[in-house]
Amino acid sequence: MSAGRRVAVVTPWYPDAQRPYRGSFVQAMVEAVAPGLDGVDVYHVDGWAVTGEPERLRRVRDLHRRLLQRAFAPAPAVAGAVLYRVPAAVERNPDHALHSRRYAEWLGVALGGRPIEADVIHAHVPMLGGYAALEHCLPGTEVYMTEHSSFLQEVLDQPDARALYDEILHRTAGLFVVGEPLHRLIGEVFPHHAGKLSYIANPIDFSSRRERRPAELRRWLSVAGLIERKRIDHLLRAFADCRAGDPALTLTIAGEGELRRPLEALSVELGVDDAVDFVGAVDPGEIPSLMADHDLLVHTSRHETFGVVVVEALAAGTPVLVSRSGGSDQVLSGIEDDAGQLVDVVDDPAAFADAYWSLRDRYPHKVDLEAAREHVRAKYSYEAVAAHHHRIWFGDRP
Amino acid sequence: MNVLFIAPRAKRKRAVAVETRRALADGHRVLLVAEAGTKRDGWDLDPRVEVAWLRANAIVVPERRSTALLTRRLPLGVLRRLGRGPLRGPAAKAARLWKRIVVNPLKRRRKRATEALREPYRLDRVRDALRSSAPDWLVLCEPSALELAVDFVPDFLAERPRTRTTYAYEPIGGGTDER
Repeated sequence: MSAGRRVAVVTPWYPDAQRPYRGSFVQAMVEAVAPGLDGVDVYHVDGWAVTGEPERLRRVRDLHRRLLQRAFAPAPAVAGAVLYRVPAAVERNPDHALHSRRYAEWLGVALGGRPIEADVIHAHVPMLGGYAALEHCLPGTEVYMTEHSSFLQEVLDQPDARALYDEILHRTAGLFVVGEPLHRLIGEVFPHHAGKLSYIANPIDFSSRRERRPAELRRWLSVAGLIERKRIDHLLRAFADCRAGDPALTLTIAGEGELRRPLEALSVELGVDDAVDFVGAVDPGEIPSLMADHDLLVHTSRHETFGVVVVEALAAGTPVLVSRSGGSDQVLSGIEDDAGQLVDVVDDPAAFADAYWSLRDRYPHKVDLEAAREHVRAKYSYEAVAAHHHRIWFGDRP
Repeated sequence: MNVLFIAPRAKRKRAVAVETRRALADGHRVLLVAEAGTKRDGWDLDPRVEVAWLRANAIVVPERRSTALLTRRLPLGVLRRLGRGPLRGPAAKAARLWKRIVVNPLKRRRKRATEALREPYRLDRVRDALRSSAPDWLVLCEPSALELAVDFVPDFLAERPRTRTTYAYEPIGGGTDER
């Protein structure tokens, strides 16, 4: 292998004009690691669901094979990186192994049969970006991967997909996860690859923060998709419970999802619609100012692979009241009381409300937001995460 | 350049709105063939974009009254009524079974028949747009555009091989990452 420092990133998720937030953590990773490298090429292999009808599919694949090479061109990306978009036409099919092979196939078509020219490749999502990277790397190039998938259990429930994942783990130089739940799952299913498995963080921007800590914990903020797993209904009930004790409370709900209408209806039913503001999806760049405009981040998710929003809150100097969702526990390990309060994942909204009153009783004197911020900054800042990646990729090589 | 965006099902409205603006900002004439359906919610297009709305979603194969009555309304109505009494469980189970065996296959058949009408209609409209706009650049901006393209792009490229074809309007070299 050459001693160069050119890195390729292969990912199924990356912001685009349609979904400017999807894979923003990959974009943040690229932005963090680019300084100090000779260059970063990002291959965004994006699944396009097409017909499964055999004859039509054959024609679609023939045309796509012809057009993809014509369309394959570099575009400028963050931090001087170069971005290549690769639509991967995948017939509608629940078979995860098929998706994996299609992603690899179309990346190969786009590359015109040439390998990815890079000294190191870091792929996101082993089944999608990872397998594609392994199939198209130069001989001897080390391919590292990060797993983020909240649906990994469903993937591994399919025998073919599990076998392919095993092969990917065998071929990769190292697999990283962003949180304990994924570490546990992969470690349990593939104990023979435990030596390749370790943690890595998503980088969080610590460049700005609120000027003063919140005076009172009255303005709640939720930043989460409006989907079942996030339990926003649970949050609304807990909020209504707390508001009965303090009518000055407000709740801002940032995020979009299929449950928006039922949740809006629930806020009316609970009689708190005048205090609840559904603001929809928020640009990642606006998160710090949104955090700074509120007193408390509330998060009721049942399961998270990583507590990114918790780190963002602490980076902005905002205390947190969050459920033990896996990712959040790990982020707050050792700084629970300094950062705010953790709540067990139980079905009773009163538990969340009790936790709120408990936090409010000890705030601000028994909460040390500065200490919590410094603790997470050492792990999750751009500089810390970039240094970690560079150590993995190049060791001590300057 | 004449840049023609093709979005037969309008699945990526936000991307189309953003990318057509980019193309206009780069000085191109921008045309769009897109599904509008009965509503046009969600589109935020620059008024300079020349749009041919497809309205293919308004094409629906009608269902015969007798079919609707005998396969859906009557049996499901009876089962619903039965379900209000002590036979709630068995009635719900029977309704699910009826839907699976009778209603859903009929729905699927009707959906296929509808699609068989819509597809040539979409194709005709796209061919009209190709003729009238003489595009230098085709943007197939969603999976359904790729599916539709199998019926017109090979011939079009045979006639005009220098036409640029892409899946998005991304800035070419010289663009900035702010976009």
